[in-house]
Amino acid sequence: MIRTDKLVKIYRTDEVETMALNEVNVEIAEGEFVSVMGPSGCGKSTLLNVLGMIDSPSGGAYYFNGEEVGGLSERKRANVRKHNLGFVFQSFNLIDELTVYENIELPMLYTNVPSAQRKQRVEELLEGMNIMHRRNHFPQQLSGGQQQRVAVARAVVNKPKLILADEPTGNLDSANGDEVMKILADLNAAGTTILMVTHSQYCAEFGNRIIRMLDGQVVTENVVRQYL
Amino acid sequence: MLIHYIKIAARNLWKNRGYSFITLSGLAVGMACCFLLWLYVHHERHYDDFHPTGERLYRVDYHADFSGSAFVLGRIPAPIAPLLPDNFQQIEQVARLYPRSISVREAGSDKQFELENAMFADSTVQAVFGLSFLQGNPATALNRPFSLVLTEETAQRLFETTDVLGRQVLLANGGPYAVTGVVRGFPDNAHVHFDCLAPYRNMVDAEPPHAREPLRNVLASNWLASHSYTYVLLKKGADPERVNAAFPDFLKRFGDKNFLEKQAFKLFPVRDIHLHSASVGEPEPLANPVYLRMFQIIGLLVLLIACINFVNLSTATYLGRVREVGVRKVMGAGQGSLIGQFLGETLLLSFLAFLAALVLVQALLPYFGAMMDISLAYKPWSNWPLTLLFVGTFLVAGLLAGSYPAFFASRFRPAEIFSSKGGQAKGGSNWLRKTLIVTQFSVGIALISGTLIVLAQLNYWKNLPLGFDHAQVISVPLSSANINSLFAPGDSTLRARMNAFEERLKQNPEVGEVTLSSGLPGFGAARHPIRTDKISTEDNVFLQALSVDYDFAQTYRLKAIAGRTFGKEYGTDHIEGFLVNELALKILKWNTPEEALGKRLVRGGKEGKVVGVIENFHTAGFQQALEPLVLEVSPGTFTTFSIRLQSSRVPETLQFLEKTWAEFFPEKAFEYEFLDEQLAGNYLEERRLARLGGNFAGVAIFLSCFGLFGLISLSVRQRTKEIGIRKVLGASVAGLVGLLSKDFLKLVLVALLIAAPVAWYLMEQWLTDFAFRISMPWWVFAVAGAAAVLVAFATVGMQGVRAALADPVKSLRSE
Repeated sequence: MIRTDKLVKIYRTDEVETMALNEVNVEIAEGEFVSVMGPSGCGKSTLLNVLGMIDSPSGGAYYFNGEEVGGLSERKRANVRKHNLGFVFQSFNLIDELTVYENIELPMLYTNVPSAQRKQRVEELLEGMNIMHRRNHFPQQLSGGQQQRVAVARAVVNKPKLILADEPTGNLDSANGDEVMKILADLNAAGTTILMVTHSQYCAEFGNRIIRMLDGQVVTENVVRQYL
Repeated sequence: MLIHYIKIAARNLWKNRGYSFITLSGLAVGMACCFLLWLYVHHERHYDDFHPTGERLYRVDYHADFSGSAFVLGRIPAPIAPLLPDNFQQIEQVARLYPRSISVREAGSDKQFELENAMFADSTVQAVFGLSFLQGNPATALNRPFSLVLTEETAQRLFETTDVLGRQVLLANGGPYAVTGVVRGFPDNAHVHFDCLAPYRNMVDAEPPHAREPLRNVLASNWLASHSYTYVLLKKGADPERVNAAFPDFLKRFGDKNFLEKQAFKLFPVRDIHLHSASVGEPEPLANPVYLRMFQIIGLLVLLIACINFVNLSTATYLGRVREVGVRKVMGAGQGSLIGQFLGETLLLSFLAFLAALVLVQALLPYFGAMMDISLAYKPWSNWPLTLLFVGTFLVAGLLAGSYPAFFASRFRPAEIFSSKGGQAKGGSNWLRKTLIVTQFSVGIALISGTLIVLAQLNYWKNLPLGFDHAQVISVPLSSANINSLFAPGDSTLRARMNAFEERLKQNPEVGEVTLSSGLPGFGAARHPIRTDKISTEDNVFLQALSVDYDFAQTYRLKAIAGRTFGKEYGTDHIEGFLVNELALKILKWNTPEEALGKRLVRGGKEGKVVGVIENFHTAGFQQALEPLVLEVSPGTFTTFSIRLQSSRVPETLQFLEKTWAEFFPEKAFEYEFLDEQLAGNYLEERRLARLGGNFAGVAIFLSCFGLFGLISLSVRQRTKEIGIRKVLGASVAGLVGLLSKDFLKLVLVALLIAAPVAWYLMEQWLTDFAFRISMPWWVFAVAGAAAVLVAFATVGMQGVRAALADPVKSLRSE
């Protein structure tokens, strides 16, 4: 599903140049659950942003479903993103002014899903995530765990092929963290490919494979278990 | 999707209600100010638009060129009008209007009052103007002699009802006139107004008996005197130029052969009179197109300031929504849809501001009208062209003001938003917002400076000696304002009555000096040709001349610097005495005041000698230079009493005057005005400008502070981390406030540097028109600048203190 060839990302300010990704080669097959680990500043989040197409690479090639997408325009990237990708962030990134229902519904507005279908799909997810009773609440009225479940529901509402999760348990206690990881694992089991950045070895082991990074480069790849 | 956008817009407005309120109210106030000024300008620009005959309605103007001094008059000789329809095939109808003030009362009643605008009109006035009749038959209302058409207001004033057909009215004790119609008076924006219409031929009957025959002659055969306003209605499609071109032949046929070269008559569109007429003797004051343009520009500038605010405040608010933008982009929102969303929000906000502005306009109209001395009304549906202009303005302002914040917000990059910098976004182009703030304050400072200069000029005038003593003087018009009295021979009984009235007043110790004159000092005087032994008719010397009674100099405390003032005891002053002022000496070629004494002087047809030279005094407002002046005693031309009140018991003295007046002059209602107040009227336009400038300068600065508030909030948000670090390292609150304020105060200073020379230049142009003017006061710019800096500092300081007092841990943790 994903293949990169000597992917480079350089951040430039007026006088300083920082190489965040240094010729990274990654390959992720459909159905995999890949965890990315490494110390702060090693380039994990940058890799996630580039693979999630919210940032463009400075060099190298990035193939998504066999198509080179590194050089696409912002408009085209947005189009690929909304039909294929779902995002889960450490800080949930729910929109405070929208209710739980509306937050989950949001991605479908951008993919022009008809209203009846949207309603059915959101309710299905609310039910599945066990937050139906919170549908009309605003994010600030929810616990961290509930917020992250809403964020996951929002990420999967368009049935994306790939979910990118950036430290999804980083702001949660262990019980809520566990719950979120189980949801991700279930989604993976149902066929969704997952790429997750994490600091936690425990969370990383929910995946099939762990990629370790240092100074913008992939240093090792461990297979935790073969995916089925 | 639209519902989604509206929902999130509404929730954001509510969430940031403080900001939303100042954003909305700022724009609303700006729009309201702009709309009010435009309403005023629209009102002034659409004078006489309401006449149903509008496009075909013209007034005949009189272009006169006697003795080399050309001028245009709004009234033409009376005999012309009846000849026009038969001699010009383009003309459908003609109507003359002769305005005068007149004392009026219901027959059998004692209640008498003065109607300022009684109009003697040809019966064709209905066809020419298309009057709106409420009662009576429009076709015949003025056909019969001694018929009378009243406006609703006059009917109410006279009878306290409008159901008045057939009621009897006396005009100047003549009549009775039977009311044959009630009409709607002309609206405020008409170049001429009337309280009642009486048949033109009855004008003669309103004069005292001895004056009637001479007036009949004037109306029938005087082809020189500028007498009646004459309006023509052209036939559909007729070309006014063809009428103008045919006038010389018409004059050759009917006019006075002596004046053929000196007279010309031309049609002038009635709709253009208020703004473009150059005629002397307009029935009402005209607009100054330069001031109208200024008002229009001030309106636009205030709107510009409000839009700039809107940009700054919206941008500041959107900075709090970077995460939302990031999330939406990640979900696949394109830049176009985000721009659409945010532009929609700003348009929604500006629409709310627009509605608030319309409400404000309605609420402020009475006050604004009072400030501008007019009655303004705005009905959105019936006034739809103006409403369209307002809607257009709102759309343009909303789009302009909303575009930048929308583009600004849509450009946030999700990768940066979700990076470790966590939700910080760059503030966008700083120079643009700085430019906007500088623009705002420049306008504000320029308006403050301009207003202060106008006030300084008015204050200068207030304290400038006029050269005569006007304290506690009231003026009482002797007769109604009526130029027909010029054609009348002196009323032999009048002089005796005037003297007896004066004597009676002087018996009251509360009354000081009393005098009579043909005009009041300070209001100009007609110019007359002057001859002396050294000045011949060919020299074309025209000087202002005032006819005054013997005690005029004493009443107004005028001093003779050579010779004497007038005195009854000399016996011949009313036959051959002249006084001249110092300025007249030079023009009349006398080297010293003493040299002038006893010299021959001819004013018009009156020949006499100079008996004294008096000090100069101002015969007009301080806008005009001091002028040479000739005084004489001609009782027949006296129009006004000047009476000095002695005491503080003014109400009782006025009652006494009114009672005594009714005894001596029963045919004329008692009217009075304090001369001080009348003189203040010379500066009405300047006062209006000061009031308007002051109010709008206040609004401009107030709005600028709103914008500054937005900008400092933005800056505080962008510098949260810096403020936190500085606090941790030991910075004081004062130091931090200084740090945050410094940049903004610099902007205000830049604005001062821009505004001062612009205001200097413009106000210098304004002052150039005045004979007596201040030299440009530099302190005005210092005060305007200091005021702007102070207000800006208060705004910035408030936000700065709040930021500086915030717990640094919070700001650093949010990193």
